[in-house]
Amino acid sequence: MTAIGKWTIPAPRKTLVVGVADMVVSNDSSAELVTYSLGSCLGIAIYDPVKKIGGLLHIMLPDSKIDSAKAVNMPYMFLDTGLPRLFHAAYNLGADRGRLTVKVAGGAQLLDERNIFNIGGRNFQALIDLIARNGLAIHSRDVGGMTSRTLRFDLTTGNITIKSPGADAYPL
Amino acid sequence: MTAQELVAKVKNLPPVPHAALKLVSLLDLPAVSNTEVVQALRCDNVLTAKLLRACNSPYFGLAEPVGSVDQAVFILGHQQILHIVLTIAFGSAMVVALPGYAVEASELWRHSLVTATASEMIAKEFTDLNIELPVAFTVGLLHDIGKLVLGQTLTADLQVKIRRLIEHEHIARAEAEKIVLGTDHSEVGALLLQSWHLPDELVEAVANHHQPILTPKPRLSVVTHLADCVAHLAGSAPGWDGYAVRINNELVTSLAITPEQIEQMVANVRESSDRVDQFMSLA
Repeated sequence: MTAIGKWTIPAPRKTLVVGVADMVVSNDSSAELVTYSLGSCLGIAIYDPVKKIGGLLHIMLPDSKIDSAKAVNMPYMFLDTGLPRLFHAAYNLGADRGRLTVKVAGGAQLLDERNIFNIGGRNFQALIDLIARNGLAIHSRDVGGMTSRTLRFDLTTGNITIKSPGADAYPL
Repeated sequence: MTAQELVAKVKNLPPVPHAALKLVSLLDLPAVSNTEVVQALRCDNVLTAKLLRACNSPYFGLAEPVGSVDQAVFILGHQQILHIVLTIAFGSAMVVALPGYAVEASELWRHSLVTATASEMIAKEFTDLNIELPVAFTVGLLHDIGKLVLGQTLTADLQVKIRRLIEHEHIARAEAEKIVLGTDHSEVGALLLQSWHLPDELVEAVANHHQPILTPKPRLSVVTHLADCVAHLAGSAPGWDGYAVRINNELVTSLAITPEQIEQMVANVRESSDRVDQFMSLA
């Protein structure tokens, strides 16, 4: 807060934008993490409420086997290479595995009867499998549908809001 | 309402330079010479000035700045020039918000550029389709241009009806438009292209980008349909109904498309996002 006469101006909030196929993990509890254009992609947010450490990963595809070169250059593009990095980055900052909450949004689907194009569904299934294999749980989710989403993650409270075009924001 | 009535209703579509349309119509010719490209552009001073400024931007990394259209075409080649001219010509027209689609300014334009990029990739991947790259790029860029018309002419009442249909019946955007309006953005877009005297191949591909033509042999609309879907999956799905797009089953069977193939294309489109950003900055 900066005081000017009797007015107080709140310090501008630090917003860290997580791009597509990107990740941010932070222990700056005053920051907000945001990711745009979650279509069939998944936004996966983890949070340690005691240490106020949060991380947000924006993956596009379930499995890096389709392109091992890209998995090296852009590990956050894929769930199988991105998710372990998300957790390890949070552990490195001091997050406690037992306290971490996992929330997820995205996974929209095109109208595709044969499911060839259903990357959203495959992304979410791959997440469920990997989370279960590691004995973890998904605490809340807003997945599927035909709309894209913007995810905002407040590191002070751990609250997450989801906003779709032409609709009001709601908590995750 | 027919597509004709809708197009006639639109009064203030931003003008597209005649020289740019002339350049697109050259796509119809079996081979284009540099001279023809230069001649098409020469009559438009404003476009030429913008073109030269774009060519001299750091992105193209030219050792010596270019000072004339002849030079620019000679150094960058007419395929590159076509990309730049189309970006300049249609960019300003398409960077508009479409409240009826809940599409913010620049989103439709980005989606068009991403689809153009995907379209080139698909033309390269499915060589049997025999689609030239400049044609693929152009049709990707223009496939949703009908949304500019519908965005301006749809009343709030009609928009609500379309939205309800999509939400409650889970049908595609184009299908809902057809039910409520009797026409859809692909038909309207094709009509707009026709009124600009653009090649029939492009008109057909825009008209059918949601129902691609596969018989007697696959047409350009096949590429446009696939590119549009890949662009959506690569995160460019503007509007609240961004994913209300129906995949054509016959096309998937006919081209024997696999999930891995789609995922690879999505990854490649993401990788070329720098190029899209560069084109965004040219408009």
